[in-house]
Amino acid sequence: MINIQDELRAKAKELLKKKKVNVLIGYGSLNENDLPKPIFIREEKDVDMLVWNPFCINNLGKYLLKERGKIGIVAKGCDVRSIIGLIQEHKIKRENIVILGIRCPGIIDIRKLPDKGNATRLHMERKNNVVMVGGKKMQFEEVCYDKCLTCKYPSPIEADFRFGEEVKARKENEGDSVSKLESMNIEERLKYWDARFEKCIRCTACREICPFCYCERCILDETIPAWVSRSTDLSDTRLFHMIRFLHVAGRCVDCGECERACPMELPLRKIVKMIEKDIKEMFDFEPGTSLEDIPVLAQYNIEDREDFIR
Amino acid sequence: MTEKVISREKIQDLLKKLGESYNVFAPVQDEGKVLFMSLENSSRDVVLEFKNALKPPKEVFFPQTDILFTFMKTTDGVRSEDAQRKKSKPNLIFAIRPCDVQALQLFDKVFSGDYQDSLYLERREDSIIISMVCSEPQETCFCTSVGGSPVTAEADIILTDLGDQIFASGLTESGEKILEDRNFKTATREFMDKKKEAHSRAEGSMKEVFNMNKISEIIGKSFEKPFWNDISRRCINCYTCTFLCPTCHCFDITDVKRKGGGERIKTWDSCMSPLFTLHASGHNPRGEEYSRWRQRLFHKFKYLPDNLGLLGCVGCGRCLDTCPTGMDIREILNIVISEDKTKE
Ligand code: SF4
Ligand code: SF4
Ligand code: SF4
Ligand code: SF4
Ligand code: SF4
Repeated sequence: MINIQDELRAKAKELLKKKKVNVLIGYGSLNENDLPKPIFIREEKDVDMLVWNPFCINNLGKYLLKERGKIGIVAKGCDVRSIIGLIQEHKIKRENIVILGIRCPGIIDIRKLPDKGNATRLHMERKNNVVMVGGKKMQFEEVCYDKCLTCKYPSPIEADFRFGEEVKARKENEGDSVSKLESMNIEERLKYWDARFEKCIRCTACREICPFCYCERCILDETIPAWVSRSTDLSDTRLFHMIRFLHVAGRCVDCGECERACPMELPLRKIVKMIEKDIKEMFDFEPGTSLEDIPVLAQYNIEDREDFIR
Repeated sequence: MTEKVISREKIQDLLKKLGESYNVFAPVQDEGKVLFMSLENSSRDVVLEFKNALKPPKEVFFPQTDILFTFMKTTDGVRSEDAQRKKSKPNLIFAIRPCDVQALQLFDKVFSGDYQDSLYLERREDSIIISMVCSEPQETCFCTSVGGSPVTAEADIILTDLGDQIFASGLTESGEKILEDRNFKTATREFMDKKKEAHSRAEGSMKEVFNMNKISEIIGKSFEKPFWNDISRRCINCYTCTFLCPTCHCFDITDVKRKGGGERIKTWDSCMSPLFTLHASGHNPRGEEYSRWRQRLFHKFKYLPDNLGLLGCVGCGRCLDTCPTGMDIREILNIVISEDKTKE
């Protein structure tokens, strides 16, 4: 088997040495036992901190906006879609980034492991579809992120270098969660969401982690006037989410980071999926899948069959 | 000190009785998470098998949103009205972990210092704290490194889970009074030994993750050091770590418009937000992201110890457990400490 981590390190060393990039954004751990975290490598000597393992979950795409100059970035299939989106929106230039794309076999959701995997993480092994968790065999599907179960683009659509063996798109079987919600009437749906929004602490992690929530002035933060109050009254929290999701509609690539970042474990990807479906049905558009695309809500077509816009 | 035991299945009954005189907050299951919730008008079962609640029960005394007063337009101007505060019964927190109890001591000092915060003090008045020893501390717990312990707490009662039986020590007069309930039986020698054993097992499982010696001094010297930007680089400046922290107590006061008028509200605030220090002029003394992380550390390990004699961290580990970018306060603190050493 090819060792992705070794290959990544070698490539990172080369890129930094030849000054092809001045920073490499990747995953790193100080100790072998730690969960990988986003790291910024600027010198060759630090490359050995770079890791790749089935816990590398963060979408590093957003950090592209934090750096200047030539940037190297490690990106999984899903993360690459958000990078394409950012290029489409002219937030970054394709020629300024070097994408180290990973053909991703799926990532393990530590929330699904017994005790968050604290005791067993270090002794975890993955062979094909079986994961050994502290001596116990588990199917990969039981412990991976929900988004990985239905990932359509596990192999990066766009990359400068690719690592790992080709991974095929996984089957679409998550439609159920959306159709269940769709079959509810408005009152039932409101009840479903209110029961969840009630738990929201408005920590903004879902916004800050989202690659597309990059506005320097966000309406949710405005104070004069405060369009959305800081109050955790349900009416304010509903509005908070409605605004955020409407602002990422047609851009959101289902990287799932909002849901993962949410400390209160709100099922935000259910909204993501609804939006994705609407955008597909209404505009036949799939965000972040081609560099040539113009973001769907930034397009204007004189031939538009809807006449309200003319 | 009164020492009693209560059998596990009697706990629900006990809580029901306590509910007659107190508003009881206890850990309950909510879609796989453990949260403290009021048992009033709730049919949820209390859980005792939990490591720690996702969210500290600080909101019992310091809710995320508190209405100070409401105002409304009238024919001859504006009328304001104090928010209705119905405090029917004193609050009781059941099975709160020792670290979270320690955090309440800081709250007490903060909210009854130069300014007496009546909203906090009213809720805190006559409240009862029943703590629960951590038999199995989590990997992320580090209470013993910040002067705490998984087995002691300044509570009214402290419980130790012994399986079928729960050991209960009454530490205050009000606590002992509760132990007079018929559900409690006198603890025999056997249970006392078991309790001791459980305590030393829990204490033995804790490691010292950093040395608090002269911490305020060391932190104080680090303000101008160049590493802040580097070590806080991956932080995205959300408010998770501060909102879920049992000791974080910063709040904001704003107005919110409602139909026909509005409310003046007090809501949790976070030093990780750029708005936290934004001046009306547009100037922001903490405009840089790293300066907010530095502030968080300084407040917890320098300003609070200097001003109130208490650390602003009780080692609950929530911030590092829930941070979406894996920021670990233990790691950062250790960097600051070791950088200080290399200097000398
Ligand atoms: S991350 Fe979760 S708790 Fe935080 S604001 Fe978003 S939905 Fe609410
Ligand atoms: S809304 Fe959520 S899933 Fe969509 S791009 Fe943003 S973080 Fe990713
Ligand atoms: S340390 Fe983590 S939880 Fe805190 S603001 Fe930064 S990213 Fe959010
Ligand atoms: S700083 Fe972190 S570990 Fe310390 S008390 Fe707050 S949440 Fe807990
Ligand atoms: S930090 Fe200590 S007191 Fe808090 S939950 Fe962990 S072991 Fe218990």
